[in-house]
Amino acid sequence: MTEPLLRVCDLHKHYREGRSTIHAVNGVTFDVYPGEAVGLVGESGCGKSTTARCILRLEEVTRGTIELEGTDLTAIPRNRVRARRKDFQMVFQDPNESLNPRFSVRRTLREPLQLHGLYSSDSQLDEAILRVNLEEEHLDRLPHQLSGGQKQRVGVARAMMTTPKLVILDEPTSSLDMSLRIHVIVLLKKLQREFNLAYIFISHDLSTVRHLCDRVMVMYLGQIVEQGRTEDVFDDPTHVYTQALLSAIPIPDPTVKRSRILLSGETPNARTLVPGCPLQDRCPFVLEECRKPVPDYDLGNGHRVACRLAREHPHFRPESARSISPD
Amino acid sequence: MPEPLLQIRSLRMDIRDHERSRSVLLDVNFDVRPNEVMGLVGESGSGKTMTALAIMRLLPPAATASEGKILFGGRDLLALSESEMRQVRGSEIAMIFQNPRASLNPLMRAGDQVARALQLHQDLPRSQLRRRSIELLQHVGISDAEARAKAYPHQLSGGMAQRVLIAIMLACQPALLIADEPTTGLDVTIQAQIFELIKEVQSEAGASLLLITHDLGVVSEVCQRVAVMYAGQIMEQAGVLDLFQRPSHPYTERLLGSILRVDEAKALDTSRAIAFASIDYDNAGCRFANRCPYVLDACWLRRPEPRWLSEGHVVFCHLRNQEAA
Repeated sequence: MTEPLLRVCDLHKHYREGRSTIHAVNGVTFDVYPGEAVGLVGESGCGKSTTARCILRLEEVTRGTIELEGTDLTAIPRNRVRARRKDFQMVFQDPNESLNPRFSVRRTLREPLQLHGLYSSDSQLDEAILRVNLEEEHLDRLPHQLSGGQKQRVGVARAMMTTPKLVILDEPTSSLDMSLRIHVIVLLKKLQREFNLAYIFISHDLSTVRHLCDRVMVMYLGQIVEQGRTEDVFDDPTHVYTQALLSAIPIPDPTVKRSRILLSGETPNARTLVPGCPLQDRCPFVLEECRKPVPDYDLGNGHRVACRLAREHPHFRPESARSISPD
Repeated sequence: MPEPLLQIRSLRMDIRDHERSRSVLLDVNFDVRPNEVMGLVGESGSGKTMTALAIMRLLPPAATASEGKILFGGRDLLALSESEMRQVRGSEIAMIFQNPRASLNPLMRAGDQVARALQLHQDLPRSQLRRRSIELLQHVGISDAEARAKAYPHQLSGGMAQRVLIAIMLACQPALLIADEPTTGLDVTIQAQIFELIKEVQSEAGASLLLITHDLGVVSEVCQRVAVMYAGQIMEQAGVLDLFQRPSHPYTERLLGSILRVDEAKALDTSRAIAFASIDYDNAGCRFANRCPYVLDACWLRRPEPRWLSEGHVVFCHLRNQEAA
């Protein structure tokens, strides 16, 4: 088996807020292999963006390691992280905020090349702009002269300039109309194949994740509650939270009638951590033992779930259960 | 068939931008019947929010409704004076917006805002106002309503703030509710809760709901009828089942073709999606012409005549008219 490109191990990120501590990320462990697209999904406040920011070292981690091709990014000085940035890039959610309004597209695309000493001529830029289905004439435009869909493609083009191995995409399609979304996803898939890119795709839009990602990880309250191959998790969701999340999405087909798992209340704040399942206060099927630490059950094929109800799953394999320490 | 509650007839709205003026709504016609959920669906720039603002007469200063009528209970809302309109707003037609926290008064406690609506529209004695407003907050699913009534908007989550707005709307007992993307920015599990609540209060109050959304999933689950808008024109209007099973306008067909469903994986095929191009508001004919794969000469010249395919299903498309001729 190939070595993972990225290894995130027991990642914690806590923020101090006055006298309390916000537990944004609590013990997240996962690998990303070269050329695969991994979806990181969950609702606001689940820690998915914080996880990404830690990987990019835009945040200092509280605990845990993040290894990129064997180098622990949390242990090396910041200036050395910067040098490695050519291997891992990011596409941000809002292109209006992530593109410099005074930079022409040409300058925006040239800068990462110059920073990493990769610039030789503007023909690199022509190539890059055509790659994202824009025209050479767009190179001399400023962001305000582009439409939302065009700006987002400039953001994608910029992330690809240094031919990275890993690109983190933070909700890149959420500001786009539905009819444009499919074009952006097709473009991302094409680039992924072309450069053998690995993606970490952060999104609350599960329909997009289903069509772009090979694997998916579902986060709730700073923990990964379920992960597996996309078709396994979507066709056979096992954690009650994943089931609720999927059943909450309205299906654009009036002939489909589904039953919905409605979670009561809202996501609790991450100040006080209770032992056991993070969903215990909202779960309609909660058991007494859910208040105790929940092991990570293995359903085979890399499908893992931290939910007691997984024991009723046909592929449940108790011997491979791995215990998560309560924190 | 009962008399429609709201009838929009040949509505046109122009927005001035420096020297030139552009019609952001052109020849918009649709009805909302009593006790139904009518959807208005479209992407950004389609004019769906402008239509709602025209009904509420809350248009931006640069916009003028230059043609047409908005008939509500026999009166043309566009012809009412501002003070007459104020009587209609809230008590007869109420609207909830996207970004619920921005719609609440930031300096007033949630409970007081509900009480104020009660006071304005129901003329209750002061002693009953507080009790009734807490009842309303409980009714929209706010647990611990007594305590939440004392909260200021910034202390409420987005879902909670939308519930407060729904309580304010209920305080007014309107005949028509307008909800403009009421769950944008809310998480999907909260979105599901809010839609359950909206459906519940709508059927309970016997009111009609005009739901504005870009999400065809929401249309499919909540609405009975739907009008599809593009660039300020209605392209197609139908019962929900009809629209999904027999989409007849090329825009509707392509819009449905670009949907990615969460419950089934499909091959990504952009040849069935809508081509990249900016919206052409200036075309004298069908405004979808510059992106339409089947465009005809006539599409550049004049707006297509409506073609009725069945009871309640109408499409505006030269191609369909030509096929029928």
